[in-house]
Amino acid sequence: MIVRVLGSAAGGGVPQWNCACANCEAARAGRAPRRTQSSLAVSSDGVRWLLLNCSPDVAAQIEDFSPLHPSGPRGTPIGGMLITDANVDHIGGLAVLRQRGAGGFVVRSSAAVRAIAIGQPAFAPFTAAPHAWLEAPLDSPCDAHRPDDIVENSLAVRAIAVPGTTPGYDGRRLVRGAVVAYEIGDRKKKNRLLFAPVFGAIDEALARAISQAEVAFLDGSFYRDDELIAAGLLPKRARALGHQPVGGSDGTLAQLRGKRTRIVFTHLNNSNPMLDPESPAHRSVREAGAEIAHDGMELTL
Amino acid sequence: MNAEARPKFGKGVKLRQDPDGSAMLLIPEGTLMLNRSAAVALELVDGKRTLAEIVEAVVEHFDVAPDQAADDLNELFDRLTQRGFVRCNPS
Repeated sequence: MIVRVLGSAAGGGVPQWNCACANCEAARAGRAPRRTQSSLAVSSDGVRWLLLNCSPDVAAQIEDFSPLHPSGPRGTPIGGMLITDANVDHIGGLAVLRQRGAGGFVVRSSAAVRAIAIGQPAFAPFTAAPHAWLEAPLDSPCDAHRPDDIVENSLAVRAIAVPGTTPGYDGRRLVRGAVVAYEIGDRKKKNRLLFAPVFGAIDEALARAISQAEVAFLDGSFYRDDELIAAGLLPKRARALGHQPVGGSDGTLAQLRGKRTRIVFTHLNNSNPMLDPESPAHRSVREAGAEIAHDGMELTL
Repeated sequence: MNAEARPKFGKGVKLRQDPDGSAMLLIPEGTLMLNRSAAVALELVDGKRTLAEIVEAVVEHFDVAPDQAADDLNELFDRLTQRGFVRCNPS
C-alpha cells in the first residue's frame, strides 16, 4: 500500500494567508517547507487512488503528484474520498473538483458528516450521479459500491467514531460520528494504516485502533493546549477546538508512550512549535520515536 | 530488475540520511521514507554494483535469510524502477 502525504497542515496551511507568526514567516521566506492543508492519498497498485480528506488545496496537491494526473482528455485516477469530519479544510476540496469527466467519485463519510455537508450547495452535487456519497458505518467495514470501487476490492476500509464535535459553523454539537478515523488495509493485512487527523481525546476505541495499526497518522494540530493563546493568535484552547495537544502530561505523546505503532503527526497548525526543527517540542516528538509529516512524504506499507 | 543489472539513481534523485537516523530518498515530487534495509541497500547504489551484490551486502549486514531479503529488495527496486527513481546501467 502506498501512502502519500498530499498536505500536512491544519486549516489555513503554512504559511497561512493572514498570519505572520514565526512559522509562517519562515515558510514564506523559504527557510521552512510550505505545507498545504491536510490530506493523504492511498493506493494498493499505484494506479488508482483514494483521497483521505479533500482539502481546498487539492488541485495543487494533484498537480504536485504525477500519479494523480489524468491520463486522457478527461478523467482522473482518483476513485473516491474518505472524509473524517465536516470541517472546511477536509471537505472544501470537493467544491474545487466540480468539473465533469467520465466517471464520478465515491465519497464516504459518517452519516453525521454527510448530513451536514450535503445541506450545502457546494457539496450537494456529490450525492448525485455520476458521484455517490455513502454513509460509512461506524465500526464495521465499508462495502464496495460498484464493481470498480477501490474500497473492499483493493483496500479494506473501516470507520471508527472518535471524540469530537461538529464544526464551529454547525454549533460544535456533540454527535457520534461528527469526527471519525479510518482503518485502511489491503488483502494481506486489515490494519496497515490508521488515519486520525482530528480527535479531541484518545478513548479506548481509538487507543485500540492505534495499537493495531502498522502506521498511525494522528492529530498533530497543537503541541500545547494554550498554544494559540500564548502566541497571541487566538483566545482559544486546543481542546476547546477539538484537538488533543501532542505534548504535556496528558497529551498524545504521553498517552501513547510505549506503543509500538509507528506514529506520524499530521494536520499541523501554523502555530505549532513542532514545525521548527530546532524547538524542544520537535525534539520531544523525535525522542519519543514519533515522526512529523511533511508534504510529499511517502511510505510503502 | 535482474540480479546482474547495475542500478543507479534517476535524474534528480538523492539519498539523504538525517542525524536522527531517518533515511529518505529525495525524489522530484517528494520524499520516500525508507526502512533500515532499504536505506542500506540504496546506500550501495552507484551504477557499478549489481543488484545481486547489493542483496548480498544487505544479507550480511542484517544477518537475514537471503531469499527473503532478495524478494524484498527485488520488489523495492522494481517499484523504484517503475517510477523512474532507479535506472539500470547497461552492463
